[in-house]
Amino acid sequence: MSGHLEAVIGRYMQVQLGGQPCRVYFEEAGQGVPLICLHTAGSDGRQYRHLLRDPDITAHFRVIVFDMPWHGKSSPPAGWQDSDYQLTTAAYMEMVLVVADTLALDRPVVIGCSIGGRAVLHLARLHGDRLGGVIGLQSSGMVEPYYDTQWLHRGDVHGGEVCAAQVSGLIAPSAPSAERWETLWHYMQGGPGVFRGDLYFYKVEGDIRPQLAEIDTTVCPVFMLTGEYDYSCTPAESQATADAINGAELTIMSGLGHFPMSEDFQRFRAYLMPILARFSGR
Amino acid sequence: MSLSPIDRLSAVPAVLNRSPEILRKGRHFTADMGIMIDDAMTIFHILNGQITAVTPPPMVMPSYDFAISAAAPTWIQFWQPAPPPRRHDIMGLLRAGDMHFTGNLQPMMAHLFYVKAVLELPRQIGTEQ
Repeated sequence: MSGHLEAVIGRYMQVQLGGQPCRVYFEEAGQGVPLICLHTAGSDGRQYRHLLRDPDITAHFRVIVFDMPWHGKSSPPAGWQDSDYQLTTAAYMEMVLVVADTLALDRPVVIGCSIGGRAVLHLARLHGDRLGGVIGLQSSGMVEPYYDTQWLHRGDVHGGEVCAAQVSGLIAPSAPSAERWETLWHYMQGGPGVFRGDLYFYKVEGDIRPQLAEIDTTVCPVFMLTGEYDYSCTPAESQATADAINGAELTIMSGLGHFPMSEDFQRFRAYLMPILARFSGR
Repeated sequence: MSLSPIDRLSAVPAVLNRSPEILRKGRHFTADMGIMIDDAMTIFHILNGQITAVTPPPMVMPSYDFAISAAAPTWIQFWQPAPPPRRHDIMGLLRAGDMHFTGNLQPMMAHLFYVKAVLELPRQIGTEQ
């Protein structure tokens, strides 16, 4: 019995990020409107495995998913061992733009979840004229710290176990078991301190609330989708964010949590497809 | 007739003993875990994932490693078979300010899947034949 090959292709690109050479892993599938996908804190691009393999999407979109440096198959830059990793807005913006430029993408649409959902708001504000639009999943202007993130990186607590257990409740109870545990496995595989370092952007440095009104949705349309079971980025916080952006469109998704594209793609798909249709002109 | 939160807690050891997948998660977990419902603490004395004894309220000098505390209505909601969104996980209740973790949290955070699973067991109680 032989298997079969998927249409998804994985490659590496050599780029400069923060003045240092980085080898960034990405996967892509499909043709059409470029669609860059940003994964959540402490995880990797496997969260978009269903989106990459959906023929109704890849018929109209060139779907591109990269692992951020420190995540998945993208290693940290040389010298990583001597400091704590902390994601910043500037570093996040640079990596998305460098990936887009390296692939020579013309006005890509960017979809991001959680920290990625925050990043797309920064992108829309700072670089909206270079984008076709953004889709923020579990997107909000700021999430105040509500637990001590030091527990995510300690010698006496297994980092993979605690990171996954910390986020396990963010998945909706109705999510299929295999997808739930696949989503958690990605967290279990994160490097030491990486989830915590991403949360620096999410909960400390990357507050965009004061600048939300500067986003021009006539230049860069903003769509937002938030799962109702998410207590990290709550529906109320997404609503407050959407209210502060003139022209932003928010839908609250029932039966979904913090990882809609990974935890229950079929349910998520029903919310995503009408938005994608706006970008593909169908 | 609906069970009180204390009734639900007292039935946890028997349900845990029928849950090998949870016992496996807790096989290296040994601690005295306090569960506060309003002002009343119940202590689960846990050895290698097995609840070996339960100290019910009231007690004069509760001695435990860490405690998880919430008001009775919060526990009742949390222990519904299908709790409302964002009331379904202890971290969601922590974020809402309706649950508190105190004491030495290292055993809890090192075995968070296990602790969450044990605390969710009362959802099953009263639903069996």
